[in-house]
Amino acid sequence: MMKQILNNLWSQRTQNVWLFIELVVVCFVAWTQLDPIAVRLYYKSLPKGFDSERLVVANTRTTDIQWIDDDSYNTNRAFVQKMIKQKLQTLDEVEQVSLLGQIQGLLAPRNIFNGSSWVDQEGEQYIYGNDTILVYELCYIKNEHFFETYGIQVADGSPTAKELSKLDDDGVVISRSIAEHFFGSAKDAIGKEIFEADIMMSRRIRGVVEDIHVSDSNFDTWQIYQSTSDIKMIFISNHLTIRLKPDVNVQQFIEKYNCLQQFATDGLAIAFFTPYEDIATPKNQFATPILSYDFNLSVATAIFFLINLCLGVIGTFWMQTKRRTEESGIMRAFGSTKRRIMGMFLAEGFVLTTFSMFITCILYLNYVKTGLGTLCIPPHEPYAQPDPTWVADKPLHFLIISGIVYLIILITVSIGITIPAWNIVRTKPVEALREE
Amino acid sequence: MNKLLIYLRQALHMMREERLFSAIYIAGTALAIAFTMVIAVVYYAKLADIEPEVNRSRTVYVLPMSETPKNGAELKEEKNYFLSDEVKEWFYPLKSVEVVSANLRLEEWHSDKINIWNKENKDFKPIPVATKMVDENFFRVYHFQFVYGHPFTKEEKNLNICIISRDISEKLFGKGVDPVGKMLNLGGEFRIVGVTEPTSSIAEQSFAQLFVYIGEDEARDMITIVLKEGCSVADLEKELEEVAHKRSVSSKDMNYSFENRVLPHAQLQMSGGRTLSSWKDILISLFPQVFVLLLVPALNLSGLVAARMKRRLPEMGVRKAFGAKRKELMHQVIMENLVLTLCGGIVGLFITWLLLYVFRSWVFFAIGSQFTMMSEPTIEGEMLFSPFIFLIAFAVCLIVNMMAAIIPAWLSLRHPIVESMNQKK
Amino acid sequence: METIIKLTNINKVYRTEEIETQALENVNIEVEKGEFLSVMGPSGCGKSTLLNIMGLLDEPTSGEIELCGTKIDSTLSDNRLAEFRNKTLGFVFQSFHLISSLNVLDNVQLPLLYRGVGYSERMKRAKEVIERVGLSHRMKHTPVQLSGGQCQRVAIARAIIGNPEIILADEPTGNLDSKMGADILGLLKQLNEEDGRTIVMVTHNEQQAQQTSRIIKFLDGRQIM
Repeated sequence: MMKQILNNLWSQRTQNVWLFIELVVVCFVAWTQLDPIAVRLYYKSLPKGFDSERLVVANTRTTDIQWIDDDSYNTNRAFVQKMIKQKLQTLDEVEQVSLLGQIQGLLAPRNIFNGSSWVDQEGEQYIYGNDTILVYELCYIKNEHFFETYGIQVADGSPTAKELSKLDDDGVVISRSIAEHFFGSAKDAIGKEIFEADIMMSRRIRGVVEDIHVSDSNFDTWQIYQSTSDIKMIFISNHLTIRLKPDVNVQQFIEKYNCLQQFATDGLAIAFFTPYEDIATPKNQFATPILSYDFNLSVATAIFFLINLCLGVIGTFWMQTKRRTEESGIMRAFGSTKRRIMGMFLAEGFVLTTFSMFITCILYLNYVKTGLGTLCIPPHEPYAQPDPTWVADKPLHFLIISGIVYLIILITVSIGITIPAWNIVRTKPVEALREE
Repeated sequence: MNKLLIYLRQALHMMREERLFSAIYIAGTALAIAFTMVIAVVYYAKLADIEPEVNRSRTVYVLPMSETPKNGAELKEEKNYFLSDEVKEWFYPLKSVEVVSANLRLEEWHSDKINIWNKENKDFKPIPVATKMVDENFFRVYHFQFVYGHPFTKEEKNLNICIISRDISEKLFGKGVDPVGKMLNLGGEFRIVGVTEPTSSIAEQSFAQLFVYIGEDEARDMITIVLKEGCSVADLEKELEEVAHKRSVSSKDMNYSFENRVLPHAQLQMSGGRTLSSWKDILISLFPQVFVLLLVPALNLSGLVAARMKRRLPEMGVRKAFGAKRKELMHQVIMENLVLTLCGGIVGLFITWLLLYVFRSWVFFAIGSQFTMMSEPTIEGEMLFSPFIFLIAFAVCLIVNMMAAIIPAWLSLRHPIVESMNQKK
Repeated sequence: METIIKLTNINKVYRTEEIETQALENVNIEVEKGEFLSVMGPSGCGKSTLLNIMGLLDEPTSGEIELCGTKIDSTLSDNRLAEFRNKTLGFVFQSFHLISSLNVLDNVQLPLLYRGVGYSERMKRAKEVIERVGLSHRMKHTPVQLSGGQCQRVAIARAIIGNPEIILADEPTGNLDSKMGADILGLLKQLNEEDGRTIVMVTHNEQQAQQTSRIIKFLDGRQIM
């Protein structure tokens, strides 16, 4: 059968050469589009480690639309913010409300920490030791039930979430992956010191929490939590995070309370509610250039090319209908089944696609090696957490994405062949042979 | 001309005879054209001169100066706004500007949506409206149509006044009611001085449903400038650097600069930070990407054309036997394909309009998300039906047709006459 | 009498990767103006190849061709050959080779279209020749709507519309029944006797060949009679 397939492909080479070129181009373009999509989806699929689906964020704003920059006003505003918080706490659907010290949800700026040694300084330059790491440092407001609201789990041996939320600002809470990196286990980390490199201050580790995975553009789980009771931080935080009870629907909650006037208090009001999951994406100021790609545009482009490919395959195959019908009639006259014939047609597509994919892989490897293009791997900053997943492993990354592209193209081509082929194999042998 | 008519007749006859081929050909072309046109329309809507942003080609946005400490000075927090006096001192005297407008972008500080309500109607629930805080020159930069009342004037400075759009006015006060003079509650009370026709949020620099007159004490964080005819962005940058230099000289601690703070409209819209200044330049720079987007459909069509040429080899042989030259046959094939391509183009345009109308939010977010989007966009007629859009569509059709038909036709017509005529059908 | 077609030492060899076939070997033929020549022979003897070479549809491997006093060789460009075919030659094929997407009127006009003749002149002459072959009532019909004999009449009309000096007919009655075949031969004879056109016809039919002015016979690429 393989010989017949290859003969068929060769005999129709005038048409098939266009299809082959198109397959190579589409495979190549699909590769460039599907790479960031696959990486982004993969990171998104990693367990978050906190209860994002139960969280709603309330943005507060002054009802006086005037610009004021005044410390006493800020203190006042912080107090009023707390009053709004208490109003929200009384709602039936609400389990917990927390003021957050960060503007971008749980995404935090980065900072340098050392495991066990001081940083040396030569003139203006810092010299870091071997145990230096780059982590996300998140500030949370003391006594705001931070860990409980977000549902961040504590590791074994660590104080409870409630206790950690009340910590003073001389201690830190670290994620399990940092604990294991420096001390081997979460339990062993409690009570130890780590050093904030740039300001050369040591911090006592008061607790360890399970890893959370916040960004959909990288793997990082190295996170340090620092409590604060700074009033200005409370003012800057115009976000209130609401943890809803387990059976409450986020959208229904938002719709129910959309008349926001009821929460207005002394010149401050809630501007709007947003589900947490809606704010945690696109405006991610910490996304790397590669992964700040336009996700929707990639999907649209990939779909466009695949539809074109499907049309091309349908068209090419349909142009050969007469000859194929005759061929099918002869085969059935000599005992072949419809399924076998269909299988042969699909196998032609399989061979063409496989050959095209092979060429594409060679082209893409060269494309990447010459520096014209890159694999979609988040850039690794010095001291940052190494990515243990397939994304950062170049050969595996290439193989996996090639596999995904191959599968998608194969499915597209198969659909394109099946539609006309089904008509062909259904023709009765006597009618098919009459075509000759 | 007669030949063209014969080719046209033959093309139409073949369309009727080979319906499947024609359908696939038209579908493939329509898809390619729809995709290209959607991109063209989105860019056009964001970058071309359309109401009310009719001066986009001369509009430049200026952000607050950057500050770097002089030697030994302490790094302070950057002041990222202008005061009213600063605007008057630095911008009004500039020679290259026609109009200067200084505004506050609410979305950077609060939400751009403010709840407003009608105190006269106690049952009325507050509604969120997109809001901008603007000065009197805002309505000289952008051309709004006033249904009632008038734009802000200098004399009304320091009064709590606002302008609303007609759709909001109707929601608050009912249809056909002139609300000028009535009070609106935004947290404080503001008097309505004008009502404008609603505009599309695609023109996002000017879009709002509520305009509040910015007070003298208010900070402004964006200056919008319309350049004088004949003046360039470089002229403005030169003048502004002189202003920054003077300020640096008079400051003990800080150096100031407007470098990378002067953004032509197109550059502001495209967060990639291109240095191209006109939407035509941008479209030209997009050409290679569009070419690749058209390449795949063209390859599709080439395959179909190649298959069809094979079937028509005997016909081509006969034509050659009776004296047809290769060039004439090439013209014939290209013309016949052009009929199909133009049909595909028309279908493609309809698909474009459908996509842009029904899925406009998704489209403007997916394709235009290099641009920032603040509200649900509305599509105006001039965005969809401008002569330029039709011209682009026709040009794309031609390009696709040529790409698809030339090579297969040329290859097929190389066959010797006898071989062509003896080809088994 | 004037020699209108002269073939001297014509050889035609078809070469593939594995096989070499001598289709014509040292063929020398002269055809006088106004002659009606039949070419006969078994299948594969080279008759159609001879006609293709005479009609400049194919090139000989070696030898010389002279048509209407003009030497035809490889120095003539494709376009020049096309012009020559258009003005000097008319073809009638066994399988008609009408263009199925054009009607009778359009099919017949084809040679004049490529000659650049204006619309009104083309229409006038097309209607004349269509009337001559007896198909005035079928002008707007397409080939699928015609019988075999009618198709061949259209092909003849197409072949003569440009007033060519030479008509080359390759088994013009091969796909027709005897009555239709006789009609077509009658038409060709009319063109030869009334208009003085030179006709070279390939045929298997001995009876039809006897009605022409001269017969030549081929076997295995060589002229034997």
